[in-house]
Formats: sequence, structure tokens, C-alpha cells
Amino acid sequence: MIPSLVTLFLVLMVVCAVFALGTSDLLAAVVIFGAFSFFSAIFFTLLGALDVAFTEAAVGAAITTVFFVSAIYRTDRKAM
Amino acid sequence: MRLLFQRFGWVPLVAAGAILFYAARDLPSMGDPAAPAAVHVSPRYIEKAQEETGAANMVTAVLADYRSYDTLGEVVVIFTAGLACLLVLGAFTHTDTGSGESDGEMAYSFGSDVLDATIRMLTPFIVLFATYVVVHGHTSPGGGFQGGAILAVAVMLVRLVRGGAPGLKLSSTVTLAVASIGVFVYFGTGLTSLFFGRNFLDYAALPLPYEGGHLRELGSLSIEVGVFIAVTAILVLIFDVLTAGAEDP
Repeated sequence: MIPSLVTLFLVLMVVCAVFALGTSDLLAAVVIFGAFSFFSAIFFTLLGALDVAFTEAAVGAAITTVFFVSAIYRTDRKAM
Repeated sequence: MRLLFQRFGWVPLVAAGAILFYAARDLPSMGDPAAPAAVHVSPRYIEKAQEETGAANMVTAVLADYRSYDTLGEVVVIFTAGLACLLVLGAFTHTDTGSGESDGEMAYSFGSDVLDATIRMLTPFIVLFATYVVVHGHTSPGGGFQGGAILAVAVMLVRLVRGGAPGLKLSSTVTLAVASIGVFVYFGTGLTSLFFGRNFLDYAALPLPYEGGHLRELGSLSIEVGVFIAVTAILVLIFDVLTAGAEDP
């Protein structure tokens, strides 16, 4: 485990979270949220929790993104 | 009042964050051998998991064997979530589920030659990897949940690019039935050991010609396969329900 890398990915996660909340385009928010999941998967890998990282990469980064995009597709793209 | 919320909404947020950071200083530091979690339970698992359950990956040993009843609950939760999605969103898809596919083409596909060639290359490897993750979950990271998610990704990828017909188009009733089979495999393993006179989900009672860790390994492999089937079917079901009513942009 490399402490500076852990800090780097934690900071990236916080940046992604802030931008995902800040943007008014829901599709952009979903893509940023996928990036957030990806960074957290790497973060779990660095901590040695490979099983969790696996689940996060498959479910968080891929499937959740597809589900959110489908949900946006059925509704309106703008937030409020 | 609304303006007040907009202007000063960050104050309680910052206060809550400060309290959490303050409280986090009392947590044991990462990898601390004197932390409560590392003193009682962990040494027992680290010393005995390999010989008792036959699983080199201790996470699988805990999830599929020591805490199997907990995992059963998780599978039922996922099953219920899929059922709820079907009940809530199914009203929109009522007209075109079942046999109603006009020409088997979902209106949601992004077909192009590049995407088509790419998924033809990728899909076999994704399916193979999903199977590997499930079967090899005892010695390397992975298991039923992860393998099921990866296989569901493969099915979704084909459906997104090629439309419904080549991507194993199933009606939601069939998908739900497959998911029920997965949950049933899990319950069935537990009930079999109950039937042969041991506790629910005690794999040592399974009527197979093996002993000790090897028998327990087969028992947890059986429930992992149940989880795998259930998770794949439920994720595909949710995807189908979400995209069924979509029209071409």
C-alpha cells in the first residue's frame, strides 16, 4: 500500500463527487459518478480489499451507469 | 425562508463534517493489530479457514461458509429488488412483454460496424471471465456476486449494441423464473443439509463422497452458483424493464 496514492485517489473521489453534484446535466453527472466508482475501486485495491474492488468495478462503474442512463433516457435530461 | 436555506445550507453540512472528522480520530488506525476486530474473530479465521472450508480466499470462506445465512439474506434482498422494479416499472412495458416482439428489434440499439466488431471480440472473453470468477472464487478474489455482475454486463453490452434479438431476448417472466431457480439452488443446498440431520446450510451433511474441507468447498461452490444465476437474471431483468419502453432518439 502506497500512502500518497491512497491520498491521491481519495482526493480524486472527492473532486468527482463535488462535480457530480454541481453539474446540472444529469448525463454528465452519471458519467462523473462512474468515474467516482472507478476511483473508489482502485482505492479498494490499494487497501487490499480485492473482492470489494471487483464488485465496485463491475456494479458501480458499469451496471449502475447503464441503469442511470436508461432512467435518464426515459425522463428529462435537465435537473429541475 | 427558501433563500435562507440556499444561503446558509452549508453550515449544518460543515458542522456535521467537523463532528465526523473529530470522531474519526478515535477509530483504530488502519492495520492496527490491537484493534477490536483484529483481536477476537480474525485470528480464528486466519488460522482455521483453509483447513475447515477448503477456501484459500478467506473472504469467500466467510461469505459462503461461516456467514452463509447472511449471504442468503443478501440474495433474497436482490431478488426482492428485481421484483419491485418489475412491479413498479412493469406497467409501462405491459404492452410489449411476452410474445409481443414485432421483429425482435429493440428500439434502443446503437448499432454500428465498429461497435459490432468490438463486441464480437469482447463478449466471449467476458463470459469466460465471469465463469472463471465464479469457479475460481475459492482461491482468488471473486465469487457469485462478481461473476453474476460480469455476465450481466456481457448480456447488456450485446443488447445495447445489437438490440434485443441476438442478445438472448427473454420475456420478464422467464428471467424472473431463472432468478427464482438461483435462489432455489441456495435454499435447496441449505435444506439438503437440514434433511440429512445437520444445521441449515451446514455443508458437512451434504451426501457427496468427499470429506472435511473438500466437501464444504463443494457446498459453498453450489451456493455460489445459485447466487451467480440469481444476480445475473435479476440485473438483466432490471435492464430489460428499464429499457423496454424506450424509443429511438
